[in-house]
Amino acid sequence: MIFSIKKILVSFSLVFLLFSCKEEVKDKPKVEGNKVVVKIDFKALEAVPNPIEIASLMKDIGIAYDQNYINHVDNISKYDTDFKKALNLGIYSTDLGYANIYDQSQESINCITAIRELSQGLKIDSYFDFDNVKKAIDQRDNPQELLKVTLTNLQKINEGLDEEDRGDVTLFIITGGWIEALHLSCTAAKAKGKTELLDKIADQKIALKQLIDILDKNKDKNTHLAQLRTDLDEIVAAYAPVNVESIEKDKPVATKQVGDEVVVDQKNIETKVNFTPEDLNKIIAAVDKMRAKIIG
Amino acid sequence: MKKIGYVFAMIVALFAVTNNVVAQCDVTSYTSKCVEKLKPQSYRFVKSYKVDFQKGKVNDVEYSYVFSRGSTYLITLSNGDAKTQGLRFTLLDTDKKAVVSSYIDETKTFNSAVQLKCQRTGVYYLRYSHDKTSNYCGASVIGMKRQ
Repeated sequence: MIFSIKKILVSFSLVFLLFSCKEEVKDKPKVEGNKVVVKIDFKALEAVPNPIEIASLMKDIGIAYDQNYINHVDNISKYDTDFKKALNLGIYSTDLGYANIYDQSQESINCITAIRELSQGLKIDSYFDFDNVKKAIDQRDNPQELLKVTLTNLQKINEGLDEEDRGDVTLFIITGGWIEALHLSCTAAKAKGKTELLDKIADQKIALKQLIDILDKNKDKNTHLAQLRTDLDEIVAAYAPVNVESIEKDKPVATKQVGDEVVVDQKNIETKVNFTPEDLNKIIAAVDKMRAKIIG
Repeated sequence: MKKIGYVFAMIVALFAVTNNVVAQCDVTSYTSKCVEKLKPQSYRFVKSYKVDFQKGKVNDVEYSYVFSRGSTYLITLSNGDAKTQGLRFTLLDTDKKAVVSSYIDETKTFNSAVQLKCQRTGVYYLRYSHDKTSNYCGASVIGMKRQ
C-alpha cells in the first residue's frame, strides 16, 4: 500500500511538472551560460507599422516597380553575424512584401530564399512554414494568400523569439524592415514626388519614436542594441524639424453601421504638416547611409 | 490496490494533458475567416492577432498599432460564432479615448468588423473583450487600403 501511494505521488509530481513547465520558461534567469536574455516589450514593438503599408501605397499611387530599390540576394554571403543576419532578414522581408504587392513572382522567390537562409543562420527557421509559402506562391490568382502566409510567418518568428527571450533579434528584424520601407519610399519620392508619399514619410516620425523608445530602454543590454541606437541618431536628427500636427475640431466623429460593420470617419480631424524638401533630402541621406551600412 | 493507484494516477495524468490541449487556442481557422472578409472590399492584409481570453480567465486582450492618415483600415473579427456574438472590439486613440466599438449599445448588436477612415497618424490601441459568451478564443485581422 505504501508503495502504491509512492507511485501515485510520483505520478502527481509528473503531472505537476507538466503544468509548471511553461512558468519555468518565463522565469528564466537574466543570463544563461554565455547567452544574455533580452526580454523586450513585445507589444510596444508590435505597434511599429507594417512595412507592407508603404509598398501598398506606392503601388496604389501609380509608382512603378523597380528592382534596383531592393537588396540583392547575392549579398547574403556578407552577413556573417547574427546582428547583420537579423537586420537583413528585416530588409528582405520588406522587399518580399514590395515584390509581392507588385506581383513579381521571381523577386518574391529570391527574397524567400534569402529569408530562409538567414532564418536558418539565426536558428529560427522552425517558425517559418516554407511549405505553406511555396503553396501560396503557386496560387498566382490569389496574391493575398502569399501576403497572409509570409506576414503570419514573420509574426510567428517574432513571437517565437519573444518566447525564447531573444527580443534583441526581433528588434533588429523590425528595425531592418522599417529602414527598408523608409528607403523604398524615400527613393521613390526622390524620383517621383507625390504628396501622399511625402506625407507617409513625414508620418514615419511616429514609428521612429516607437523604435527609439524601445531601443533607449534596452540599449544597455548588449553592444549591438547600443550600436543600433547610435546608428539611428542621424535619422532622428533629420526628422527633428518635421512636424505633423493633428487638430481635432468640435464636431463629433461620424459613426454609422453598414451591414455588420461599424464605420468611423475621423472627418473631425485636420492635419498640418511641416515637412520641407530640405528635410526630405536630409532624411534620404541619413537613411541611405544607415541602409548601406546594414546591407554592405 | 496497487493497480487502482496506477489507474487513478494515469486517469489524472490523461485528464491533465487533455485539458491542457483543449485549453490551447488555435486561431488558424478564425484568422482565415477574418482574411476572407477583407477580399470583397479589396483590403490588403496587414496584420493578424490572436484573441485568447484563456478560457475566460482574462477579460481583455489589448494590442497597439500605428494607423496612418490617408488610409482606410478594416479590422475584422471572428470567434467561432457565425455573428461574432460575445466578441467586443474597441479602438482607442493615443490618449486611450474610445474611437469606436464593434458593439452598438442602442441596438445591443455585435458586429464582425470595424472600418476606420484614419485622419490622424498615431498609436492606437485595439482592445478585445468577451461578453456573455463561452467563446474565449478568436482572431482579428487588420486590412488596409488607400482612401
